[in-house]
Amino acid sequence: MPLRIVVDTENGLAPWRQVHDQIARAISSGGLTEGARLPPIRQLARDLGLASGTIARVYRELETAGWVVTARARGTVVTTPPALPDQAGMLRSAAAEFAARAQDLGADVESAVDAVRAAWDS
Amino acid sequence: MHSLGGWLGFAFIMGLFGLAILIVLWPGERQGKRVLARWGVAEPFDAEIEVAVRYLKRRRFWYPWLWLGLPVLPRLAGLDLPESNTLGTIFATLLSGGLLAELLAQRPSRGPRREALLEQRGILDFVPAWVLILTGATELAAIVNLGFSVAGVRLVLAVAAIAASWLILLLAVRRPATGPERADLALRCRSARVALGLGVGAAAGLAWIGGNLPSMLGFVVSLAVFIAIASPPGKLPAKTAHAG
Repeated sequence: MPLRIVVDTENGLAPWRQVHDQIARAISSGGLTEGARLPPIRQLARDLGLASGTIARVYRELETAGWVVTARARGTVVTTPPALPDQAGMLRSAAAEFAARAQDLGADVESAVDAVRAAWDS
Repeated sequence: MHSLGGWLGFAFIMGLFGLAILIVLWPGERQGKRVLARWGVAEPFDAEIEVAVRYLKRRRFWYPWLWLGLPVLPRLAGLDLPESNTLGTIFATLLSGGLLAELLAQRPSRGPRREALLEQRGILDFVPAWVLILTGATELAAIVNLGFSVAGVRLVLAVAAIAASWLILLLAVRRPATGPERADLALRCRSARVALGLGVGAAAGLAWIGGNLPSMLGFVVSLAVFIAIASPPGKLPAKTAHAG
């Protein structure tokens, strides 16, 4: 099954960061394996209703971090990162995303942390 | 003044007629389910049916107005077209409606929550190579036949119909994803194949008109190709089938 990328333009996190983190997470978790081809920039931008430049930035950042390589003939392809992924950075992004959603729901810090604990233990 | 009144009366009657056709054609849940089932989505759920109904509405909305307007337009423009025939108008209506629907479907998503599949989409994901080759060969034969015989306006119309059908194919692959994956892919597959079939059918209707044996053979072969291409395939392309 192909992976689904979801962008919420109202969750407080920049759309390019949301797309970047989801792709990086998919690669680090093995959902996207080495050699998997990402869709062309224009296709992904159209599907997500974002500017091509936004997706181009995502691919550029992923390439800089070593997650993907871009070749003219094959397009953008997943590769093995030369170093360990920035797990701390990804955790911060996920936490920011969750915190924004919890605030939207009117939750306070304690109940949000309790929800994380409950999810962690389940 | 009398002429203007006559035109207004004519437009009013045609408008009412168009509205009546629209009411008859307007798709509901049952039609949405049926179209999905025909194109490989067995037992669709509500969100898929909703996508299919919207897909059908986008096309059928245009059909009455195109059906009524297309035969009148060339006369208004003072063009000397071949005698109008019902079959030609049907093909022109379906192709124009499909083209308008696909053009409208190109609008990007503007809602706060947007989704996309991390997968490349290409023409061959929806139409197998043999369909493309068969379509191209049949259309080329029709064009060559027209070029050697009647040519003129018929040739221009055939080229326009073929161009419209291939444009619909490209737009169906290009448009942003909407709704659940398997319904989205199945409907793209339908758009692509039906458009190519209509292109073949329209070209055949314009090209193979002589009363001789080659024309009859050309028409019959084109008709067989049209049916083979525009019908739902027994086996859906891998990506579409995989999604189901």
